Amino acid sequence: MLTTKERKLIQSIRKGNTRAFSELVNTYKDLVYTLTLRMLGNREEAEEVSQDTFIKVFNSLEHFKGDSKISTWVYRIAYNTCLDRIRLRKSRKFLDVGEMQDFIFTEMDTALDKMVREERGRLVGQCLAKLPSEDAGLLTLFYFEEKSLLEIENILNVPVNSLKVQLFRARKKLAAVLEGHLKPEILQNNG
Amino acid sequence: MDEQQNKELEAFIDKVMGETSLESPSPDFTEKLMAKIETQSQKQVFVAHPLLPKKLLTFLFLAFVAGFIYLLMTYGLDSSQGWFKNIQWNYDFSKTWSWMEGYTASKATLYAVLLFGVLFFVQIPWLKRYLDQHGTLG
Repeated sequence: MLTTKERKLIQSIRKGNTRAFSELVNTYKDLVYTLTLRMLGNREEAEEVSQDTFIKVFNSLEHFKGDSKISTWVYRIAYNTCLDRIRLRKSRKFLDVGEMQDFIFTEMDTALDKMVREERGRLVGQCLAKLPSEDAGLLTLFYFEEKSLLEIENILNVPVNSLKVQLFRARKKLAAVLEGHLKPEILQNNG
Repeated sequence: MDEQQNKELEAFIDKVMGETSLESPSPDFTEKLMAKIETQSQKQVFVAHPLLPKKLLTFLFLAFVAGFIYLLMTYGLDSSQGWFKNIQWNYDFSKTWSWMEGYTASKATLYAVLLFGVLFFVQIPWLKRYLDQHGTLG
């Protein structure tokens, strides 16, 4: 489960070497921040929640048994800290996919291809932020964690079969949000 | 959505998500976090816990005061009464240190003692640096 390097790092932190902890933070901070940003849709809040996540990781490192990958454990704490933060909010994002029409992927693809790479990345980021937090979190974990549903099963504590259904719905919602953003370009392309 | 559309959707989202990259927090993220953690650790280290519980300390203090008052009321301040009279107040300390009168130290011994004193103080900054880097002597 744990590599020898990770085991040594954890032992060093447990002995009270707080500086060794910064090594662990630097390894996981980008994915933790991306996950919190996608789930919360706000940079300042995402940074705050990422900090809270690592403080929780530091405080509970003593109880970490090492029966899962350290990344799995860190992302689980990040995901749950985000959910706690979302629960405090008054409004939550809902997106109904039941009534959605079929998508024309070729037209969406063409519209996206006409954009500069940075612009495309920014647009996808904006669309992810419009999804319900659980969907944005699931898509982020799936596409940045080597597309391993087994790993995500351990992080979210949801069976693989349910994850497949959730992932399908999340993809559909993202396509719907993207379609809404790309409509003007698609209309322009169609003349 | 039919099977074909499902596959198209998956391929499309795979491509779209491939356009995104990992976001980075602010450049001083780790420094800020470590400062918070170090403050928190110091707080944990410097929390003072008395060796004896507060109740026991209060009881011992009250017992001492009560005993003192009892002795005072029974014997007063007169040192010629009770067990006070057994204490030899004019104790002569000069006998204890009389062996020092004839003692002389060689220069080598003197320098050795001085060097030992200097080295004792030299190891303090060295130990401090070691502890700062490793967090523990173990």
